[in-house]
Amino acid sequence: MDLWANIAAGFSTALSVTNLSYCLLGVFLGTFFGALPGIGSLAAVTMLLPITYYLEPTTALVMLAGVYYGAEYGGSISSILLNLPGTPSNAVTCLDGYPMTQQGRSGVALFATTIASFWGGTFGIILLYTLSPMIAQWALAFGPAEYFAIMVFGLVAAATVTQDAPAKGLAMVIVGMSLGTVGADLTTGVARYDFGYFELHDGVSFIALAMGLFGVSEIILSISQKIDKPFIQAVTLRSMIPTRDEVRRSPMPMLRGAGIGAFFGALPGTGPSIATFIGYALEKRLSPHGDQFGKGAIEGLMSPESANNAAVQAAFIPTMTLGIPGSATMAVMMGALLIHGIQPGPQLMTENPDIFWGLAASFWIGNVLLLILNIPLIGLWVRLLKVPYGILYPAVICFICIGVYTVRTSAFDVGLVLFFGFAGYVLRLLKFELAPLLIGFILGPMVEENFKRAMLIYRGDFMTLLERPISGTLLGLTALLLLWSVWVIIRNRRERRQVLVGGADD
Amino acid sequence: MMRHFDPVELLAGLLIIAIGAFFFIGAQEFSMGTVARMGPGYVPRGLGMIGIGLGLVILTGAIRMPGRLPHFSVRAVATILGSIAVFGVLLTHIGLVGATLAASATAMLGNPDAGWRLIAVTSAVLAVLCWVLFVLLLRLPIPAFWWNL
Repeated sequence: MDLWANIAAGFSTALSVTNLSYCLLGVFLGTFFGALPGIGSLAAVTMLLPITYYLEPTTALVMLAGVYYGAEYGGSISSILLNLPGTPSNAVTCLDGYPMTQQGRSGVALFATTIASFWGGTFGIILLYTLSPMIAQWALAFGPAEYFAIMVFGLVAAATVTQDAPAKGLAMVIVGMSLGTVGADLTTGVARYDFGYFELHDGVSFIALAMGLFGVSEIILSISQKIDKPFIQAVTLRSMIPTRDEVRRSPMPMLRGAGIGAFFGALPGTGPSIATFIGYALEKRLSPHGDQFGKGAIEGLMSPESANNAAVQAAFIPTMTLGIPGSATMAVMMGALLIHGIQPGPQLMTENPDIFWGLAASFWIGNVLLLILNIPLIGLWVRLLKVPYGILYPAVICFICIGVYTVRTSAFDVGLVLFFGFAGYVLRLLKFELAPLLIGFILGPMVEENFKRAMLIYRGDFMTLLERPISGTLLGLTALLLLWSVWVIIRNRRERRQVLVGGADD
Repeated sequence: MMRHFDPVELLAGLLIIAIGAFFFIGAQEFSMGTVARMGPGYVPRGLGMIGIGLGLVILTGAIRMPGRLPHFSVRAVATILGSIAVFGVLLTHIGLVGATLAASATAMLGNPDAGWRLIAVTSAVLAVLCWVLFVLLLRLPIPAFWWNL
């Protein structure tokens, strides 16, 4: 069968000495940055991007992807031991992970999340293998109208589904898209919003944007609010053995979590975070031990961690087959592909099969490596958490500056990091979510291009977009999402008003 | 007496309106074109208008709502942004090692608990580390010292 030949070819690419060592380096660095609270997978991938410039495209992608899913594994370590999520999608893991630490059972929690992560990752990879060729085949027939509709749907989903303030999420998407218009117009070459800086002619550097918004603003927030480091207990291999009851209760939540994660990961726009929340809520409702949730229930770890890693792997499906990143981190990964001159999309699998299948194979190898890194070597990461943040953050700032500078050998881009770092801090204080901004920035130019082309083909008749089956369905779903958001806005307001009235009675 | 608006939502709405207006007004310079043949100004104008509209929606959410202004940490902002500025300026004048040393020291001033000895040792170690890692090992095209410029 063709699929098996491709898988075998992929493994032979991924198992070459170079790719294998960069895969190991990637998952190692990913776990490292993921375990540090405050540095998410997004900042980790962006910070390490410059290191990969001089590598072969496949090797570079293998390493960066390793950083991404490695960070999601590592993120659960600080959730469990410190009650501080290492990455946003590990936040749910705190709910039952930290209580287990308080009971002196952090070893069991770490073991459980590693197993759940491994299963979730594996499930996501199987889906990537089986679904991607079909989607890519199907997507070859897509025209600009379909791409426009998918992207608009993805953007609206990213802005509204996970957010409790949909208007602010949508506003971030629009700000991101507006920033995406900076630079030369694709069809006419007219320089837009360049303020006379020739550096802005190619547009805003997305690395400077991502690093400023996520890296720099995160550091400003962290040092402005002091965190007391709690005592960290030692974790031995012996302490990792779960009870018989926990072993019996684990498989089903893990399976359901993987399914939920894969579904939300594969949808463009919705990422791992929402998958973990839904996985947790579902288990809490289904479990006969529902009252134990929040007090160290094993199901509360298995489901979200499995969902998280399944979503991370499944997020590669829309990115690789359609060229549409499903999450902010995937947007950075796609930027990395573009830097290496590879256009993700349905042609990727036919034109660069070695990249697609090699990368997919490296995911599984990386997950096996993570299993080794996270069980026998867990003591290393626990010790890492004892390094004070006070000496880590200057290093992170310097790495960000060096990374951004090397992308285009441009001190101007360092200035952009400064600007976006400040902007990111202000936006966070005003309770804006920043991920939709980055997705809007990456997809914005593609939306504009496909919209222009579709309108050119259909002679400016917008109704044609609604009449074509695929684009019509997607735009209809988008309209439903927007209606739902209006309802959420009204409901939230009513709830907050009630709190207000209740407070006035005191 | 309770406030009659939520300052966070108020500022958020005003900020989004300002950004939308900025892009909308800026787009007047570029030709609009027609729907079938859009000029460079068409999409930015549309985005600007949607932005202003969303800003108004956020603004209405602020009316008659409780809320408190978040704390703006001047020290953290000044030291972190300052350290990036120091890096950007010094890199092209004295090279990577000096720029890293100065940037790290500036950033560490944001931590009230860091004494001068900790700042000096950490920054020096970091500067040497960056030099070895990025220049000697990874061979990135960055001048390490002023004589490499």
